[in-house]
Amino acid sequence: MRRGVTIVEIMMVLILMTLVLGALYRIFSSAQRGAQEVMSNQIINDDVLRLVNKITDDLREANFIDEHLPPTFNDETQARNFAVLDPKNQLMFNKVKYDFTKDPATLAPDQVNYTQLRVVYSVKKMDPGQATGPYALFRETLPFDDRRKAVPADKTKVEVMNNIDHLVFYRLKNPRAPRHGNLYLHLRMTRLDRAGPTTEKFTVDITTSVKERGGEPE
Amino acid sequence: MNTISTLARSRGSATLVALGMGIVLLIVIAGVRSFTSYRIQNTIIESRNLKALAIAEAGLAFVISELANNYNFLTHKVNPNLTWATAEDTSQTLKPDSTFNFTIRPATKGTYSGTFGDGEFKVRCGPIPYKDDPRTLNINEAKAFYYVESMGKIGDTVRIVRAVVQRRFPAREFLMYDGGFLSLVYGTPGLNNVNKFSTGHLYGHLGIEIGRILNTRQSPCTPGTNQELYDMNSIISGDGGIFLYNDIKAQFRARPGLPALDTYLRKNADFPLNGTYVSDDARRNGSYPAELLEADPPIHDPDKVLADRVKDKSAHVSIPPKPLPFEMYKKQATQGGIYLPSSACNQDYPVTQGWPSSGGNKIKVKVLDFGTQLRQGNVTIPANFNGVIFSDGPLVIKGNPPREVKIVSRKDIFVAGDFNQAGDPNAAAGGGQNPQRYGFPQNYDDNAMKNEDYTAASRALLNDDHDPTKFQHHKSATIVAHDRIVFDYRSPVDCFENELYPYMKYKIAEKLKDEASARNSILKISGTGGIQTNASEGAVVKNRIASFFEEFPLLDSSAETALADKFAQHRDNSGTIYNDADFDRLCKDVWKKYVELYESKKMERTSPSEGKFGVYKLLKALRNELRNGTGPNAPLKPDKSDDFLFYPEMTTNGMFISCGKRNREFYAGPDYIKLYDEIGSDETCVTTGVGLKHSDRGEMIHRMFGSEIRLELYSIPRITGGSYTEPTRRKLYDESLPRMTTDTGSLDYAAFRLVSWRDERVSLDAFNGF
Repeated sequence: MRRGVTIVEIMMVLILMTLVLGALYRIFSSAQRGAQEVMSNQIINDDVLRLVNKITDDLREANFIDEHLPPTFNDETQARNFAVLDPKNQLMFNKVKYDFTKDPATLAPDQVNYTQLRVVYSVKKMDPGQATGPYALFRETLPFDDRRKAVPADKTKVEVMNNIDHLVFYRLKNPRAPRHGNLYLHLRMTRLDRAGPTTEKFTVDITTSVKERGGEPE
Repeated sequence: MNTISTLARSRGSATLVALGMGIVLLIVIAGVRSFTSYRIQNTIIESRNLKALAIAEAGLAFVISELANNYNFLTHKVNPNLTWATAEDTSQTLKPDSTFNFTIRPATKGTYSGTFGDGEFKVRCGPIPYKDDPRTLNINEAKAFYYVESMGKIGDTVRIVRAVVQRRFPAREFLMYDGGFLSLVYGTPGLNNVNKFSTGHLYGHLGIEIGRILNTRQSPCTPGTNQELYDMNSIISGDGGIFLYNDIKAQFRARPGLPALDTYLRKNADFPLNGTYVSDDARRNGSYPAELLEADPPIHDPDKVLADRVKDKSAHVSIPPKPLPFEMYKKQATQGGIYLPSSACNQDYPVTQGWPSSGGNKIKVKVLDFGTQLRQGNVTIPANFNGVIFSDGPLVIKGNPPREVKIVSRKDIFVAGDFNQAGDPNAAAGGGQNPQRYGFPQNYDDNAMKNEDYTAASRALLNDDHDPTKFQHHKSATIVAHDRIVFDYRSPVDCFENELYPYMKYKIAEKLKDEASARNSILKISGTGGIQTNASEGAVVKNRIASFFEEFPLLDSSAETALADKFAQHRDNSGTIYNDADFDRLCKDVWKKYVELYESKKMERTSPSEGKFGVYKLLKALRNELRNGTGPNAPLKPDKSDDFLFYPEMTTNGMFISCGKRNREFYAGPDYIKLYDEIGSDETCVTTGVGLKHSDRGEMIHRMFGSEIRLELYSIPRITGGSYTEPTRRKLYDESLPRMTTDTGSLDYAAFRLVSWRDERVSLDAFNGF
């Protein structure tokens, strides 16, 4: 016997299918958004960590950090009010490279057995027309020759990272700690994601300290 | 049929949909899992990287500790391009510590390795074969740089740190080093004399203050003695500021890349008279106010010429004080040196109140008199002497050590006279007398008060002393006291022997003939050294020598008579000519008697300030001889290099290292009330019967040639009383120190700082093959 499919049955199937597909869509959609959120957070987390690592690697090789850049604050409260665009929000340090292959007796009176590289990290607005950020971080280098003269022709300036929400360098005065030593780097990076139906904001906020080594050549 | 089969096929579609969904879900789960696993893996790798770096850093720190314990420590020779050459014999001093799983593999050669925490480290180190830079006179670059490569391993992750470590020898490099606050404030209110600090580095770990006397107990007073700096290399404060209370004359030497500079360091600070102290006691006893400890006043430098020469904490040249290996010194003394237990320190030594903990004015010491050209010492150097003398009790030292020495005491060391500055007994006579027969030629271009240092010719004699082919006018001498190094100015026979003796000879010759003959024959280097008397017979000579003793009494008539008889007998037996050798022998007998009688006669006086004993009178007469006019304020005549007239100065040459913290009345700032570790020639010494005042304030010169190192490490007994008459100070760095002997027995005080660093990841094979 041949049985037909009633309109009621079809309706039921359609309703059930709609419910199942709706549920599946919501599950996939939610999973996709979750994954996207994780990925976005992870990407800026990676970016921030990479930047922090780069700066700390750079600093580890530094012989000395300029005493006045970045500035010193009595406590974190003061540091919190330190503006990104403050002209003193810079990190300036020197790397010294010695050359022991030369006989010092052959050096000219003004010649030394080392060269230096001055490194400056500074923060600038990405859009000069805007009152605030986002900001970009630049790394400038200026070499000094073995007569301690700057070589401006070999100066470099590279944008290390952009779309930074907040980045300050500072020192904290700590009477119990050695007079110089720890240098703080506070970095907050925020990325806006407007691709979805709503605008999402992903932020990583990190404060780290770096131990300073060495000193000026003597 | 077709419809039935279609429907039958349609029934299976739910299964397919379910399977499809399952696959999609599996893919999603696998993706998430793989992503999570990647993150975990990344985190693990990052963590291992950090830990491996920490282990490598620890390896570097261990090697620096080994170097601090044994500055000859190395594992390999290094090529100039910083590659490794042959493995060297090595030994370890660090002990394992199970708490941190710290072990060191025992090895007698090559790579230094061990475990720390859950990691392993391997380190190679060795001195960089750089040559000494002739342009830097206070650093021996051939001994200054070390190359270190340290690998740290966690699991399969390996990091390597490549670092150049600079080794500093504060005692060989710094004119003055202070583990606390370096104070260059010496002097007396109302005096116009100038203390001069010359050559090399100054270093104050917590700060430096320089200024003339402006205060007394932190209240303003008449300005007084000033300070001047000459031939400086650099002035460094490791962790503090540099405070200049008035404009200070400062000359800097030329250095690589820097020309010589003659300038003034401009005043940059007023001392806070109502400063903040922990307590009133602290204020009185050498503490510095919080205002100075916190501040870092800028150095006035409009022409930007001082930045490389005057360095405060911002330059980060920090060399913190470290304890010295006293036990190691003792071991060396017992194995080839001279060890003096406390029981060997059994001679009474008069001191002012406060020094003996039990009261009174004597302590028990061991006197080490190394002798001079004019007297025999009391130290017998054993065969195969390794140069180390160690005492558990206080020591008194004077004279000229016959070889390089390290003299160490667990208590105080009193430097009680000229120390370690000799004349060459075989120096060319040039037709007259040996110009160094009585001691070192202490000649000045103008005079001793005006010039900061001797003439170039005299300086050259000292600066050449690192050359073993030449006569050594001074030796490499390291004086280390656990408590204090005390400069004792009391005894004129010990402090001014080489100045008084030729003058005494001249005065005796004057009695035997006349002033002109005595000057030409005895005082002038071109003279014969002998004298022909015009006395008709011995009795006349005896009377003339007696008249000498009337002027410069021994205060012992039998001794005076006996000595006069000797001169008379010579006239009777050998005629009128007292040749050089005979006259010198007779005069040495006279001087010997002054030295012998000094202790018993030193307190006899005609007035509170006038000593009866001949030595005091000789000293006064000599000073007047050197002046235009009389009295302490009369200016000095220009010095002449062709005679044996030398301005009375106490010369102490060596590396003087003390470890005690200040514990005497000592007001911070440009203050007159600062009791340094000195004793003698003062009213308080008179009242305690310790010695008569022999010089007015500023009249005597104390020349410290070498380095003065205060580590400021240990609390030591407080000295409540006793003082000294302020000498005019000449503190001069000894340029031969970096090149003088550094034998294995010397264990120089060394400090280390990193001057370059690179770190990177390397393979496990590289670690295994290191």
